Amino acid sequence: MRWRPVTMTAAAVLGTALLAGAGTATGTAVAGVAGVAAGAAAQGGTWGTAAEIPGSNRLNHGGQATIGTVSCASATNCGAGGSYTSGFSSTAPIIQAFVVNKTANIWRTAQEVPGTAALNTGGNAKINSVSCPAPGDCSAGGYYTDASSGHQQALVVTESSGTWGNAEEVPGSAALNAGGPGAVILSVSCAAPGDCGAGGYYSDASGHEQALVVTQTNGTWGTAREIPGTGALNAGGSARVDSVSCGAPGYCSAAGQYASKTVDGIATVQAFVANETGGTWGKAEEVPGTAVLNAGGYATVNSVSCASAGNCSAGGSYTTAAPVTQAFVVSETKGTWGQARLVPGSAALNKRGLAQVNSVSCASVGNCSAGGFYLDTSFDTQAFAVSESGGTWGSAEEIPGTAALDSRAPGAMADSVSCGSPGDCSASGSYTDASGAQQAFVADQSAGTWGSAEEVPGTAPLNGGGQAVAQSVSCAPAGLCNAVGQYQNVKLNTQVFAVSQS
Amino acid sequence: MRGLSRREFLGGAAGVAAVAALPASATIPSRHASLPAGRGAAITPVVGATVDLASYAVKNYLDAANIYDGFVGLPLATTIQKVYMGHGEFPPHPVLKMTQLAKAGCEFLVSIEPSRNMVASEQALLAKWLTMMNGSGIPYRVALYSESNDKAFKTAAEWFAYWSYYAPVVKDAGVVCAYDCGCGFKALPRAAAYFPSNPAPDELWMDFYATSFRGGSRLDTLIGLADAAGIPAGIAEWDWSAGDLIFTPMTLPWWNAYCEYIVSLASAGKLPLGAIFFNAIAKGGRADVIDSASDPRIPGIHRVAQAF
Repeated sequence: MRWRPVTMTAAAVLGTALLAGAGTATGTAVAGVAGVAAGAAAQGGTWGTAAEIPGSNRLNHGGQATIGTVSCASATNCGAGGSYTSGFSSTAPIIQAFVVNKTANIWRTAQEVPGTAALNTGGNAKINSVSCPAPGDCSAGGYYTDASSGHQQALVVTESSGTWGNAEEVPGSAALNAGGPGAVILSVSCAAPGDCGAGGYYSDASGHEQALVVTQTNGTWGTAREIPGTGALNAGGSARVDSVSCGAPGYCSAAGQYASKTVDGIATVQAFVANETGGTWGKAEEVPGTAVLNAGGYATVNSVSCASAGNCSAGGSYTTAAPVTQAFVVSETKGTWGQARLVPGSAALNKRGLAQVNSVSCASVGNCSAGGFYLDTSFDTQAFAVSESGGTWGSAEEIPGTAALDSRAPGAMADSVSCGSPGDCSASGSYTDASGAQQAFVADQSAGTWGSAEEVPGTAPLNGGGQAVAQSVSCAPAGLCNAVGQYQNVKLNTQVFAVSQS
Repeated sequence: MRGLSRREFLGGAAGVAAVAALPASATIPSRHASLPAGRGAAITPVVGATVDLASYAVKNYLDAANIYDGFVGLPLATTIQKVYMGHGEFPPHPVLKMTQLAKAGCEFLVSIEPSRNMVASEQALLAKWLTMMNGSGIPYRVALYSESNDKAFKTAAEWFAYWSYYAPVVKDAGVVCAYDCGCGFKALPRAAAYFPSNPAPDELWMDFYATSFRGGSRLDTLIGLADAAGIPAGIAEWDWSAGDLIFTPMTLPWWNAYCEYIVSLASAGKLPLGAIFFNAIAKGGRADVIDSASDPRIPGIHRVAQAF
């Protein structure tokens, strides 16, 4: 057998939701804005032609760029971030973090995150999440690596009035982060400029991941801390925050997963939620109802979205004793989380025992949409969407048109959903065409009805290497949407693109 | 499943303590895997597990096999294992792994790698080794250059020349000569392109890991090629991770779906040869090692084993 080695740790096993994390940031970022401006005119634009993000190719000397997050305060003003490879050391690629803005309806030039050149001495940095509550005012989070320890360190960076400040290590995270692999911010959500929440994980002295949250108030990041209660839950040695959403300043929710047990390096995983009230984080709790549902020992919350303070929805998956992994949604009303429930209609779609929600976005209280995937009879993944209207979740449906686009394994998947107003959302993701190439898609919902998915216009000629995905979509409140993603060109270099509705 | 009924197996017994529960066969079957009788010949699937010494830090392959079987609760590692001969390695006696395990009735899929220098003397070395093996009484079949489609042969033409040079030697010795391909996400298209035809292989074995399944690898096309060639198919390696970092880390939900996929193939009669679990340390990693009777993968292993 010939392969590369894999070091399987409990922490690594928990890492699956990284693949779904793109939607997390989008949903949360938009939700904070949507809560303020919900109820305006419906969206319904036409997707333009995708283009390489300006300046990204110039930065990306090593040919491996990624982008996983976009957040738009308005249709013409967004922030996004990711990573690029600036070159190679003697042993590994040198990976740098970048941010990019769309202002006045033009995608500007991507830039290395200010300050990371000095911080990222270990040559591995990335922006995982961006949230923009107002044009020119965004916050972002991710990680960098310091050469002295070789560990990842959590970073945050804030844009104010159109200018990105210097990245900083999350205050207090150095004291928490005693081991490898280190600390990472996975999700950022801002309810107002300078008032944000962020979450991720740090590594304790034993190398176990622990759930981390930090709050920004009036532009200043506070001290990171472990989410109360996760230490007690985390008997299996790993916990993390996958998604944060803030309904109002000082009122955020965090969702994630913890290992209740680890055997032979494989974790039994449970889903948790925690609420911040008035700037103080409360105790994490296992998602109500999942203790019964998750007899098979693998539940995660991949995305949470809050329309207002204390009113949120979240989605993920649980595994039955059978074992069958099903998609669930759960809602919080006035600060109290209800019972997790199987996504209506998804069990009938889920023919081969694996479905999950990747992304949730709420335009207003009780009006959300979610997207994810299930396995069809051929063991191919298929993209689904489901919408909540007036507090009632409808039935999940395969995103129209993806069946026609998708031809073979691995299949199609909705990575990200974003709602500009109730019943008006967009979804993005990927599918596999007849040649086996992965292509990027977008699909739009208007007045509660999903339209047909389409290949992201313009990506076909870019994606000569056959590895494209629209990782993240963000719809401005009652406005048009923007999406970002990556593709592989004919030289097999991975590049990043943006596409906008008009 | 072959082997289950011939042992009074104590399912769930763990570790070395379980060794005593696995009575070793007193006799060694005096046969090798003969060339198939032709289309329609009845084939009994064999379900096994390849186990290395390092996984359990023991010095005897039978001890290692019994530890694994004790953890899993099924006599897999004493039923059939894959053996890896080095490049150009044709020792005068069966390797230790085979002699130690054959005493327990184990049979083998032996990957051999005759020299890339395709000269008559190398064919002669191979023929001599086959004669020795046939005389040993150890039941075995040959996989000519396991995972040749991965990186070893840059082109199909290069591989076909190699196959055409050595496969006839194996067949002439009356030994099954199998095509054993890697089925990783990137290797899978080459697995089909490298399917040999001159001469046709006697069997198709596929190395297929859960990470590859998650990445989109499916076996249906290869099985279709085997059907078209009139040969049976089986899985020569299956487990958690082939080290494909793009689609790792693996998770239990994906593991469950992967097992369900293999079950669906077995239940449909598409894997008449059976399947061999791969339990070994690879370059220091224990991702593929079953370390206890409570390993979360074991229920999936049972579902797969019972599907044959």
